[in-house]
Amino acid sequence: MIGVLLVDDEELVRTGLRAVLEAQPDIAVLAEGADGAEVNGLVARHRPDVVLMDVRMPAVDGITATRALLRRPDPPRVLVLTTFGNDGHVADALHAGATGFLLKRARPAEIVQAVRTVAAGESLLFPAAVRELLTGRTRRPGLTGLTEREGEVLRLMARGLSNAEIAAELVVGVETVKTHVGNVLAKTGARDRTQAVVAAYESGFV
Amino acid sequence: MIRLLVDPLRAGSTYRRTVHLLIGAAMLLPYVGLAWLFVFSVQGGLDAVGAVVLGGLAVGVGVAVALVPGVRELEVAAARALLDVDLPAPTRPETWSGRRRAVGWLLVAMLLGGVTALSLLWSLPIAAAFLVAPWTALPLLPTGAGAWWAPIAGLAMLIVVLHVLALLGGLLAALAPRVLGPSPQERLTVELAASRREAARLADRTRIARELHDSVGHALTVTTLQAGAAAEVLDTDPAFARRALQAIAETGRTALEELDQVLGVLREEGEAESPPDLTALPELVDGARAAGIDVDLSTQADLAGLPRAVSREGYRIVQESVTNALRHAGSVPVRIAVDTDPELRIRVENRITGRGRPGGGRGLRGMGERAAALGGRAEAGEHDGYWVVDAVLPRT
Repeated sequence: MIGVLLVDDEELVRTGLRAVLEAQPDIAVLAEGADGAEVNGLVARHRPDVVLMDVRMPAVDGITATRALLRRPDPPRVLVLTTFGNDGHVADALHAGATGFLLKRARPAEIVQAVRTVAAGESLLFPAAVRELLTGRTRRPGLTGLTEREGEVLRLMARGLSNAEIAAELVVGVETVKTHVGNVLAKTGARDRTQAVVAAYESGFV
Repeated sequence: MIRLLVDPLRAGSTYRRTVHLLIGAAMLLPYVGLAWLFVFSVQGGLDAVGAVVLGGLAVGVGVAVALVPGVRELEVAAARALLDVDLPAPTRPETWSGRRRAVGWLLVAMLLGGVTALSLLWSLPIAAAFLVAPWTALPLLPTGAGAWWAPIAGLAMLIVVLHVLALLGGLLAALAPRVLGPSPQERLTVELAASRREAARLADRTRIARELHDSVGHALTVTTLQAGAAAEVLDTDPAFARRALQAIAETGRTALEELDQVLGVLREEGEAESPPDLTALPELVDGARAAGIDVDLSTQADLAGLPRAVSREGYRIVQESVTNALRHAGSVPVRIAVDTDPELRIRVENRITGRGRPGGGRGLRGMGERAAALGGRAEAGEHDGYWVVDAVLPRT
């Protein structure tokens, strides 16, 4: 069961998302919040797996709330909700540590799939959109210390492949891929695949 | 060759420019008086202190006149009316470079005016004396039958004087844009103001775009999400589906109201700037009459029933034709005939006078091009001593 917290200042967005997600047998909406300021308290109380977070909110915006959330010892994954795909907020949210982003106008099936993908943490959400958002951003110093195989794995992660798909691509076992992914996360200082991919794009690695 | 000799004598500009030269001469008079006073006083034993005071007074008066606010505007207005030069109105508030230009132009106008006055004072009496010499005995001049050549010489002298006046007037007109026209700084000021207006307009557009983006984008997002959710749970949670449909209707309604407001603002801004059309023809005619033109307007047509674009173009054609008539022929009577059935037909005619200046073909070509763009035509040309603008624009 995937526990979800909805944070959006627009009630109609929350009720719509809740209806879509609650209809799924494997997803439960644990609570709703109307501002980023409520997030920390709600997470402490309900321990969700995924937080669906709006960007623009009256008091504390979604990016600030995401940053604060990820300082917790065992933070939930954050899926940022956005009205428009091309505003700079999405890239900022990925920087702040969000695992993925979701357009509010996405189809119900896409919304559900996005929540499942982010909860599993097994593959990157919307790899093409992420690439578009992150290319051309200010670059940080290059990634160092990755082995050749780890570099290959990181490139495949950036293309959105899951562990099983990477294993098939490289003709190795899934366990081996998991080891490589773990090493990549450790060496890039990333807490999940998304953050590793963000670092890869920003360093010009992919 | 003959034209070169005769044209300056026939051109109205020669005489208008002479008037400007004479105004310069008139302005010079008080200074001549001051100078004379100064010279006589020094000759009459004026001491050093008196000389300094009197000299300082003369220079002070000269400078002060040109520094009075509005002098440059007056100079520009006079140059535009009498010299046929197209100068922009000076910017407000006046700048020091603008005042320097006012002083400079005053000096130029007085200098050339002084030359004009001196040459007229010298040449006119002599020419007159030559003209009457055969019939009147005058000192230093022959008289009687032996002086048959004197009137011819007098006439030639008058022609030469007119040519000199034309040359001086031409020199004054040529100097006006350089000495009196806008300084680089003033041009910059005008351009800056224009670009600031442009920036403000763009900022407005950006603000409106953002408002539309926010209100309509937000409403569409919410309705899309709610509709998707309602479809998803229609069977399992009909109560939610009903609420969702109500929310969609309500959100759509609110968004439409906001859209109405934003578009209302846009429409008002658009209308405030919209160019006039033929329904404003009576005002145009009144304006022309107020400017001293005798306008005869004949139309029984229903001018309000025309399409906007056609009506606007028609107004522009009339406006340009009347302006051209005034510019090229002076205050001659202008006849305007407008008919709208079966198509818009405009005919503007005025008698051609001698003072016409060539040029201005660009305006006529633009008129023809714009008429052609509307599927019509506009022509201008001379017919039996009249300048006739004839335009036909289809009503569709």
